Amino acid sequence: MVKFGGKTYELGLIMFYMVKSGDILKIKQLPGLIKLGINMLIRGKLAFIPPRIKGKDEIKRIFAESKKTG
Amino acid sequence: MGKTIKYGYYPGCSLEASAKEYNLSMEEAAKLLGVELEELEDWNCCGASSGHCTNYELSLALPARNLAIAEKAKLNVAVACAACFLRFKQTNHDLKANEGLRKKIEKLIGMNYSGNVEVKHLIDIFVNDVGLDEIKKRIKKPLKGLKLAAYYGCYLVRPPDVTQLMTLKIRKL
Repeated sequence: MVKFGGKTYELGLIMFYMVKSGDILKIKQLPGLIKLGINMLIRGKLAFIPPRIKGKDEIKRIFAESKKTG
Repeated sequence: MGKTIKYGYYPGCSLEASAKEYNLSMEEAAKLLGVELEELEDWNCCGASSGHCTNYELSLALPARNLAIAEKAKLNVAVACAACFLRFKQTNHDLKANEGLRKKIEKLIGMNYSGNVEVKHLIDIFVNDVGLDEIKKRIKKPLKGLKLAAYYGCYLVRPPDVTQLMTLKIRKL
């Protein structure tokens, strides 16, 4: 996510983690988590739209180049 | 308080989202204590905490881009997040120790960076630049009688040769 926008996208990270870890299948927990997520969105503690910096292409290039050399 | 203390400000990704209230508190406290914070233009994620587990050069290049932006703006950097603070300090530490690595990272970020921008955590600025006496003068509501357990995050003080910030200094606050 940092690679594409230049900054961490927390909502995307949470969703990605839930899918990868299988937590999304824990049906009993879901209503509570959805409620928590909505409250955080309302309070501005989670951004719905992923952040994008002007130099996002530079960041993408830094990721690609460091993968080759590092 | 006489002179205004000015720093380039790096809030970090979480302070724009899930730790928004921490950012608001830090900015307000800085304003009240005469610390001017100028947010670094077009800053990027510093890579904490997964960057250094992914790729060493990437973990230096991400903070180095922000430090190069600060150097261009002739500003030292104030960091609010403990994890970001360590990444910035580690980058300066490693780039200063290895000239070849510094040049490699400069090439990677496409910007010049000397490794000499000073990086401080805001708590360090409050304790050592502003001073405890100035803070005492500005207390409006003393926290007398309140039993507090301080939690400032381990990345703020460890490893000490990189962060150069001793726990005892912070405890004074």
